[in-house]
Amino acid sequence: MSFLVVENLKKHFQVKGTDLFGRDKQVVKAVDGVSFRLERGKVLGLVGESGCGKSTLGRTMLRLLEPTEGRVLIDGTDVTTLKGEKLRTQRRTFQMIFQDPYASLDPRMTVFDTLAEPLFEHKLVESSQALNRVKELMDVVGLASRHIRKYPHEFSGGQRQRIAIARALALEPELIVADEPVSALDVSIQSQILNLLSDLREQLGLTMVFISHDLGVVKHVSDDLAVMYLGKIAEYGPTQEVFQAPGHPYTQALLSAIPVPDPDYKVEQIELDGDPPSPINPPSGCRFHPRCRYANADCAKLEPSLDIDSQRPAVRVACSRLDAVRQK
Amino acid sequence: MALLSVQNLATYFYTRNGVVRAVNGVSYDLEPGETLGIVGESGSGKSVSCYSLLGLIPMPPGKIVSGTAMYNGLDLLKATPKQMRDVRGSKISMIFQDPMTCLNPYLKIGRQVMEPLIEEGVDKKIAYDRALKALDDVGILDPEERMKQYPHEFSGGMRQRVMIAMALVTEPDLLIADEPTTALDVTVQAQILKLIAELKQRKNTAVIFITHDLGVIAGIADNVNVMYAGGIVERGTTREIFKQPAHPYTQALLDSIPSTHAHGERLFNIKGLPPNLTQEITGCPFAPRCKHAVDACYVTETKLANIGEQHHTACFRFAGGEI
Repeated sequence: MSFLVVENLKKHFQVKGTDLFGRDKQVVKAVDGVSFRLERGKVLGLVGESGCGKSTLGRTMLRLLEPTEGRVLIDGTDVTTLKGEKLRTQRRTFQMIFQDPYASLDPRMTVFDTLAEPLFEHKLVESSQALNRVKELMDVVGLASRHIRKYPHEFSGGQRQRIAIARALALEPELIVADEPVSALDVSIQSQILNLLSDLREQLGLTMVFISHDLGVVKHVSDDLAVMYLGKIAEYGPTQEVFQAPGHPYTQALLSAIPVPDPDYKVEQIELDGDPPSPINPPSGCRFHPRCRYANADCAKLEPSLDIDSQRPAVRVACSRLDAVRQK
Repeated sequence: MALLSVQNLATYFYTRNGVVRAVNGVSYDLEPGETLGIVGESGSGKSVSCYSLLGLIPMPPGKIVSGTAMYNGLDLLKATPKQMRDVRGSKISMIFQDPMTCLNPYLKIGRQVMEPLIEEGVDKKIAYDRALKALDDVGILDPEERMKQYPHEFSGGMRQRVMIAMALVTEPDLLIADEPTTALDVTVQAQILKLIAELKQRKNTAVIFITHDLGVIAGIADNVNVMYAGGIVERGTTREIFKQPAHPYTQALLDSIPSTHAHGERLFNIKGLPPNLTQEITGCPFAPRCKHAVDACYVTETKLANIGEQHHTACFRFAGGEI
């Protein structure tokens, strides 16, 4: 059994009140039926444009948001039905790293307070040992222990992200969801944090879901890749295979749009017209069809399921015209 | 003749914590129709060096302490407010990173796009027609209807298009784009970059493109200035910068990008942090983080040296063939 199993997960938000014309409440289907599996020790990259629901999916998986429907099994335990004390204990095993280390750390807590809080909360250490454990954690993420009494404002962005990572590691979790962990950082700092994450993953055997809009970063760190579009997975499979020969027209367009740091690199960009439509009122049938250059009349009627690609058995693609897409 | 010639520009900020030497001796020429990419990390002075040209530095605490920026016989750094108004928005335009904070939420889009023209004294009817055409040029469908709408009715990518329309409606000679696609998704970024390249081709506008994304630079720029700690450390054609980087900082920057590495391969790390710009730096500002640094690097004043027709480096060890 896979370490992480997500089955038909949905998260719908009620938009409060009535709209301009006095009509009833509307529903934003941020995550609308997502299923995937992830083996222990692997990294899943979750990519998509802003508003596609990738962050909501990450948060719903960890019960930071209550799912509307569906199940999430972490190491065989259904975390969607857990309540109260049981949920609290279980939270030890799954932790989150957020994008903005300026916002996710309490400005009035020192490094020691920030890192010791989860340890005390879960009664993992006696207060006499807390100092040693915090120093250990700082060492793991490459922060000098002389900084232990400092406040977040005294650190640079990269160092703050190290503190946030140490906080996530304090409870020795097995699963980490990292939501854009390097997007706020400069390239040279970004590479330090990416190296740190890959070291930690190896040393501690972590399983990770890595959410990012930066496809270059995701390609580098992830074993598996899930491409989301308007609350659904468009394509899912081993990262290398998906990057080599993307099947879904949306994946093709997304990958062709990545700027490559090589002036000789010329690729025909597949242009997508306009912006992603609103998840309040997604297009009928295949959600991508209004922007898809292969779409025909059926695409507007039939919603494609995420099926195994006959030519690449490890990959699943949600496109009913995959054969036609391949021929062109 | 160069369209813009910047010589020895230095902009300092006088703060409570001391003098921040944000830009410290920057010189370059820009030819008509050229696209110049300026890359560097946060705090390297890439934005401040361009804001200084258009008088957009808040003074105080900022002060342009030295330099000239000759544009059509006018020194932009010494221009009177009146002279600056004539240049800014009509001859030299700017696009900023965040289109939401740059558009006035209370004014209709049409009025905002027409504004630089009316400022120039163009007749209102003609201004309307030109604004309409500018919006059409940047790919906004149904521009007549769209001109009656407010910024909140536009998506992020559409707002950035409006900003570009506003910047180009006066047909400027020079467009300064400060991280214009950083807040956008890759697919929309690709649309905007293509649009800027097309418009530039059609109107022969020179572009200064500020970004931290080397991938974007590789696709759009003719020449590149690499900035570090307030100065230019390397300058060359885009091909030279990417294929034969001649400064350890440029090399390190290129080596830090994930997409140039095989899957899972360790990324190169630049150790340490950029220098504190409130302190006087002697020698090369990159020396403490440089793997090639020798004792001489900490004491020798750096200056850009020619190593090719257009290729310059501030690293004397590179220029002298030591690396």
